[in-house]
Amino acid sequence: MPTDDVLRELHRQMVRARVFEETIQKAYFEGKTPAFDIAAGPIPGEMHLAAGQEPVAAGVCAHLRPSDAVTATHRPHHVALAHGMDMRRLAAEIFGKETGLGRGKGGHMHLFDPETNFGCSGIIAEGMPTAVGAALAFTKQGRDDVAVSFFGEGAANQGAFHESLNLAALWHLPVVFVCEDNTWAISVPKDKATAIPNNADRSAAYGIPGALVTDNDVVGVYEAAGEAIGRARQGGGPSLIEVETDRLLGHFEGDPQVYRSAEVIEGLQARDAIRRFEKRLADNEVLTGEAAAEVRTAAQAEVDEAIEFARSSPYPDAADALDHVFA
Amino acid sequence: MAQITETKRLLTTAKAISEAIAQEMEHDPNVFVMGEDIGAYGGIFGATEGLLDRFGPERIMDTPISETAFIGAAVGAALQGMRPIAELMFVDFFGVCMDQIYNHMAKIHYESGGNLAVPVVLTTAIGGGYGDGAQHSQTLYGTFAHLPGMKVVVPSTPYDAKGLMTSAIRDDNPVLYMFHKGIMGLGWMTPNPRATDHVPEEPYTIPIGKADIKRPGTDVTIVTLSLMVHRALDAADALARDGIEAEVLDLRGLVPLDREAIVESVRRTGRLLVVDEDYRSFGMSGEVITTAIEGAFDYLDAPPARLAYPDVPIPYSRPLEQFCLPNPDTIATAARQIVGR
Amino acid sequence: MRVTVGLVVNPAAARDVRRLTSLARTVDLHERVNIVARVLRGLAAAGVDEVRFMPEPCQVVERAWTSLTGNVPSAGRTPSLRPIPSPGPAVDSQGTVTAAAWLAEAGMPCVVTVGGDGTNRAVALGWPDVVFAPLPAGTNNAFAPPVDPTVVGLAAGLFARDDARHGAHAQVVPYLAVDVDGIPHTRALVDVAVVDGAWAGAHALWEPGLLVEAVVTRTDPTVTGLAGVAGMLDPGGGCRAIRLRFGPGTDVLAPLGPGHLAVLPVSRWEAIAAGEEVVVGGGRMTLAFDGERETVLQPGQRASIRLVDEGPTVIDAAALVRQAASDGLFRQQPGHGPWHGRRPSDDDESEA
Repeated sequence: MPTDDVLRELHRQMVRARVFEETIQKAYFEGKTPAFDIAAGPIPGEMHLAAGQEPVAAGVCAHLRPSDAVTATHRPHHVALAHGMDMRRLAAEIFGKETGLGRGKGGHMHLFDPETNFGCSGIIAEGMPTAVGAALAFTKQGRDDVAVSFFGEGAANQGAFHESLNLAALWHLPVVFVCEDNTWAISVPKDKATAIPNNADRSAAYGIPGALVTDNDVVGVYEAAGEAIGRARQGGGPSLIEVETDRLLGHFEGDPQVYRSAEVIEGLQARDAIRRFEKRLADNEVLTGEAAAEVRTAAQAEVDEAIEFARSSPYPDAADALDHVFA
Repeated sequence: MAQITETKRLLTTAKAISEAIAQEMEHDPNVFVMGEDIGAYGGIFGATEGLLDRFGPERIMDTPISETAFIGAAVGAALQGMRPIAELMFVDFFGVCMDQIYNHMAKIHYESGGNLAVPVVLTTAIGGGYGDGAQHSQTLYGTFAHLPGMKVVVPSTPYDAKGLMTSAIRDDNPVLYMFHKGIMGLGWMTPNPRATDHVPEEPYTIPIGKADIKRPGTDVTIVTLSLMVHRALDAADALARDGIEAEVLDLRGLVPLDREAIVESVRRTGRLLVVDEDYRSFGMSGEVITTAIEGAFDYLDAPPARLAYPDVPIPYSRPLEQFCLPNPDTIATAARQIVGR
Repeated sequence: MRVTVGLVVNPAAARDVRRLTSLARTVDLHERVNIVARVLRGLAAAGVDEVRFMPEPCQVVERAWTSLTGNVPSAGRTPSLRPIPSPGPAVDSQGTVTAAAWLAEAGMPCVVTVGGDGTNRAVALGWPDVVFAPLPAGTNNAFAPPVDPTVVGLAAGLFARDDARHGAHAQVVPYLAVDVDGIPHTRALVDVAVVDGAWAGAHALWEPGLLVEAVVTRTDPTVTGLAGVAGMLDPGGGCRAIRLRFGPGTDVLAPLGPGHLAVLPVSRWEAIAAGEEVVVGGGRMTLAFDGERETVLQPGQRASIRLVDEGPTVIDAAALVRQAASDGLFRQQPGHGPWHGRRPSDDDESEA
């Protein structure tokens, strides 16, 4: 059961992530109109935004320290920010600048931050073995850090998911697998891709507990993640949490979303988890509406400053492209 | 470079590799080994023999048949400061786990702008000639060398194998260490006298990316790798009886490629024959020839030639497989053709 | 005479956070399908012609039917299956409530439920006078004793064919009516707990320190959950309702969840009579019904919890089948062909 301070922090992390995604979205489309040219503008390439999925990141990362390892996916910003990544270096990397986390070499899907032990991958499910390896290292190094692997419901049909759960279970590793079930693997819904209704059940096939958290509820995530992470930290081994969440935007920015109707999208907006959470916070007198608005204002200021840092940072020298292949 | 003392110790390549690993594990607690059958079995090709008894199951870890998971775990553990050695039993199996190898192990250092090191050694058995068929006989060093971000080490002798393994473990980069089954000195393979040789007992390193002239010569440079070094040396012995002195240049790996050594040798001999057990097209032989042309064009007395595995899946039946493989006779014949005698 | 029975399967039961907080089993899809398949076999053997079932997204009932009508070693009959009409599959407990209301309207003689205490609660909300044959497929199953689904199907089928004869083995159970600020809010079949904090969160109750008080309709030391806690205090009570207040007093060791034994400080407990009202409220708190946190009370709100004697009816499958066996219903003369639940009046001869 989270304290009021924790509840307010959960809210703040969700709002920060949302404001970041909204602001990046605007910046992404600069230069790409009128005819969408994916290569144009200050942020070229693909952009996968996590608006709607903030409860998963906030609820899980609230239990983590910077030394806990986190791996995430092609849709990583909410997780990265909730785990404490420096927003300016994140923004600068997205803008491809020299001051970015990877000196502009990684981009938005390949973020690596030694300070928060964070990494992500654009290949579906392939961040899971990395998390297993981190957990393996922790047992050898005698640390009580844990590894958390975020992945989507689509990834649960990839071989790496099954291999990772089996190996983590076999070696009893301190890793928590968090499945963000937003229903859609690009355009294919879960019930057209997964043979069983819940990935929480699959963990039983590997002998580890799996729990389902419904309704994109940050407090439900917080409680379940607290149990799973605590269990791992105390040597109780791996577990899996499946969270029903919502992807409010398209798979990528520019996605015409022909596969889901306007009604469906409106329905998602209507059950926006941040708005619902704010209402309950107000009802419970934990955070008034005014205070919530102030959180948003502060978040926008932080995001604007980070984006400004990114815009004003220099690009790397072109010839730097040849550096850092080998240490 | 460590002092090399005289020794009468004869080790097989397999034993040299496991000795290198053991010596590094003695002084560096971050080194550990993962793979299928690398524990009690000692590795299917003997690369980890004796290690389980010496270091125990915590550091010599048999894995399930889950290459994506355990090679990915090696990457993950390396990112946390460990120095894992992971064995991919046959290089031919890379298909099931290539993403972790080329998209993760090889790229994370670069994607992080140099902030993260991935000190993984990925060992693997390569090569054929003993009837193991299309899925268990490939060398594939060209495939891996083509992809940026991982070093590719391919020893041919016990002495080189130990020094290169020590260097690979100490290297902060991902290193793919490819050992040919035919050079390991295994009792259940066709005996190969060149698979056993003197190996110093103390640890020593051989720099990765440096070729080695295994046999100096003047008339033609034979550039090659791995088991084909042995074949080329046998061919050179035959050529010598006809007064042709072939220089055998053992690349000892492909990434980094010792282009200077290739160019320097070809400038001296003026003739180049590449012997390659990997598929002919789009690989090592083309790269070596192009390197020679780029650096030694004016010195060439004859067009460079290559004797490479044909672009066919490796056949099983003995006459078919032996037809495809370069051997001392075909190497000598090709050399004579270039030399014109 | 065509005999029809209702079937409500909760696809989501036994999957929540209690997998992490306790040793709760997972009832995966395969197991759920298996349970339903066994029920259908039992129903068929008892002579039930048709089953009206609640459609849900995992299609457990459909899958069970497929597995029975495919190549199965022990071929047998299955009743015909018809979904109840609904705008779409039931995706939450409200769907279950609506389905139960439809089954009530359709006059089903009984409803087989596959879920936990929460599932049965939702059915009773939709159909207050429902006749249940519950199966334990949830985390806490205080309501449903562990009887093999095959036998539950058999019992439900026998009851549906002849409720006059078998009615002796169906008992009316009490429930708790909950009003909030004077307005009827919900019902609970097993317990209402008052919990510190103002969040439903992950719903399940597993932190003993958060419990403030509870009203429990049954005391049974053999089950997990609050009914088990009450049972540890008053094992002889049977179905006697009890009000517990938590605080320094007597320490009770009880299974709060599967494998989760906790020491709970109980400051008071007393029997509750029908009609007696327990009022809670004052601060900010959460009410949990049948083991799931659900309703937040704000300061100034009041909830009243009242024991009502006449609630739904529960078929005691074990007792019913025992009686039927001793009456010879399952014995037949050799050569009479496949038994299909003939009524005693259909028998050519009585038991030999």
